[in-house]
Amino acid sequence: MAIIITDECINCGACEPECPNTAIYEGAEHWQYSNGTSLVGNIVLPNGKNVDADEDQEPVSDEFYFIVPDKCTECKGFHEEPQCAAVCPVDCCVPDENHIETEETLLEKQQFLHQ
Amino acid sequence: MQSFRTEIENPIVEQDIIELAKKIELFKNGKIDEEKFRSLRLARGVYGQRQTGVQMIRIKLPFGKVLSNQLHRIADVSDEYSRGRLHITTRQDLQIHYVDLERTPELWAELERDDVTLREACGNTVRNVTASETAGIDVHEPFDVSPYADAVFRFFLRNPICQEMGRKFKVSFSATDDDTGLSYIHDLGFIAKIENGIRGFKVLLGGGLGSQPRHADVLYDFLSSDKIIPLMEGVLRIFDRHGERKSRAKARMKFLIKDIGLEAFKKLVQEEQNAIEFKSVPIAFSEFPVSKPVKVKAPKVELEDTKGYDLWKSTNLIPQKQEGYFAIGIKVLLGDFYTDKARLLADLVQNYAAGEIRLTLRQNILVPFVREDLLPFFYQELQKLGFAEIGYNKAVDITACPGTDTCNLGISSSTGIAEELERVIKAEYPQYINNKDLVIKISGCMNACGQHNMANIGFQGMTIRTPEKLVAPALQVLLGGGNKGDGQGVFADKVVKIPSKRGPEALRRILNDFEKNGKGISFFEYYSEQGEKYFYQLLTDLSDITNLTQDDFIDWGTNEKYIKAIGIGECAGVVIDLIATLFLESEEKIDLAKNALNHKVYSNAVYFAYSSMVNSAKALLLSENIKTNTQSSIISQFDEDFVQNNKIKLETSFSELIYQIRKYAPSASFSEAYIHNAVSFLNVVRTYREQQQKLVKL
Repeated sequence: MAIIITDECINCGACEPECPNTAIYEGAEHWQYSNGTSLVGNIVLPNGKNVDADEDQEPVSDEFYFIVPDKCTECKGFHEEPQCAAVCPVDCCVPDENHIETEETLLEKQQFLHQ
Repeated sequence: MQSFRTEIENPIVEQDIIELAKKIELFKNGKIDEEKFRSLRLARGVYGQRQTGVQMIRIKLPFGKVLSNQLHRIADVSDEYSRGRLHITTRQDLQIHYVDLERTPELWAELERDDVTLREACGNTVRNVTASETAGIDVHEPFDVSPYADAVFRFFLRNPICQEMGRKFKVSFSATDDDTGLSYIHDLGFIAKIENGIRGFKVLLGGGLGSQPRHADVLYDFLSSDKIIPLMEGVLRIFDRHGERKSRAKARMKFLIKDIGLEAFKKLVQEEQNAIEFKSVPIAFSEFPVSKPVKVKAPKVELEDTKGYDLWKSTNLIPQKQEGYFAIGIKVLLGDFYTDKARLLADLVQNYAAGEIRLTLRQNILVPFVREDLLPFFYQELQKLGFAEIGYNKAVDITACPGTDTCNLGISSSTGIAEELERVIKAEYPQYINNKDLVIKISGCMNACGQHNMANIGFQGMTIRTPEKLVAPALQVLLGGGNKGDGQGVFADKVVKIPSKRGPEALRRILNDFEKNGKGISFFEYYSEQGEKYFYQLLTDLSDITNLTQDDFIDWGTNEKYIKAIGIGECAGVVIDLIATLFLESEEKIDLAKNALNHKVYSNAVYFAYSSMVNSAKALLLSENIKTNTQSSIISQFDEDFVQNNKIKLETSFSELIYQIRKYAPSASFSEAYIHNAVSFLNVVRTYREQQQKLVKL
């Protein structure tokens, strides 16, 4: 499962620097696959999607900090528990029911992001 | 309002106060936008608080120095306009709460009678200039930093380059390499040094705490003292021009330096040198008024409790570099004291010391210049005031921000847990009362006003959610931070999050473990030897939320069930601009520029004209729904969207026009020409806007 930030977010930004995959962005911010990963140029994501890693992507939320599911590995491969959830002062970084993934998938994703 | 005119001697200050009164009137009548009004009042020390309809007032006291007459005045003001309580902040200010907005101009006028200001105490300005509380008396200091802190404060107060920055700017001075001013967490931090007989400073740039702490970079190992004001002017100009304006959370200068890099930042400051009128600003330190101890005969004192007196002497005294004199540390619980005591203290130091107190970074009071033979007398008198508690700047001396008591941003109680932890230390760990190597700090939220993330042991207010979706107050436990001196510090690791009611238990476990295995080294060293994982293991079972009791849902310092209520910050709301208002402001700025030109303050004249042009350009961009951010991006965007495609005809590009500011020195002739540019530019964009509006109507 990826982690999702709920609308209880108070926009404090504590989570952002904790993310080992640079999957967390401030609301309304454009993001890239290449940002904080080893991905560059045209790539094929593990789910088969073709994307340009350096291209600006639309923000997931305009109001709150958000997590890009494609870049979230729940900190697998880095830490024992999701770091955003550990530091969130209001417990609003929670498992995303719409993006349920096995540990194996998450680890593969982690390797894909940091080749 | 008439009374201000007669009582305030300084016409600039008088004007300031009348302006505030006028704006309050306009705001009450709905004639100015709320956000605009907020940013104006913040720059005049008037802050919101958790309780609606009343204001917190922050009194700006450079390096925490307060003279007896000033303390009397502040006490009178607190009684008249607030509730008789004075709160010492971690940046050496005093805050009073529950003030009626409409009475703030009157309050300010009262304070100014003793040369105390509210100006630029909050808002996106240069905040209080802080310094080591021992400045001027420190045995180890190369020289007294107070005249320099004072000069910096005065030079930038009301200076147009730092009135509407993207975010606040904090400056500190440290007397010695112990860096008690905490330069590594400041936008600009200065540490006193002498090189080849010349006074100067090690300079640190771009530090800050908050939810994303950043350690400052060393900008200079040594900069002679006459260069510090020109340097700061350059830094502020660059911060004003390139600093983030859209996202408040990313607007502190540390983010700009993180984004563009230290070298690029330095280069920008270098390119700005032409705009700086004074390349050297020597600071006349020998003319700075230093408080002198009174000559007085020591009153006869018979102390009964000699044991208590000896203990107090061992934990609360700092020997001064002036032989025979001591500074007395008064430990003030949570930085709160009351006006009755304040007045008696003011009289005591007036009659028997040097008529001065210092407010300290750890929310305490330091009384300098107490002659050795007066110490028993002071002990006796301070005891009467409840100001002789032992443990000044020691482990038992816990720092905490006001938290959920009065602050909008507070998540869970900071003062409640601080009191409880002090109680635990006194009752169960008395050996720490005299330990200065253990620093405990608490903040009610991630913004770190209690500086929890630089402490040895820190706690931060949070909430925790149970599987049943119930919300309990919580604390993040941070460990291992510390000040290594000479501008180097370590931020604490965020180790674990626990329900607030388990805070004392967490402290006990940490101290017990340290007692057992620390073997006499400092806690800072012990933590770095053991590492984060070790302490995570030690504390992790306290984070279990499956076994909470009823009591866990009641925060410290209250009997009510916890309810999460978190507002947004006031420091700098994102201001929503209306095009018409922007044009009016451009006009105002031109008037200010002309006024400065008449008074021959050319640097200010040029800067007002510059701000007017940025403002006019921004207005036009907004009128075409183009989102704006930094000033530098407004300038380049304006060229792209209006000049390059000939929508607007200028003789040169807009960048060339406006960036004359860094090409020419601020002379009389240049100021005049540059103001003229600002006037014609405003005309051009206004005409364009009017034509567009006509087209729309057709």
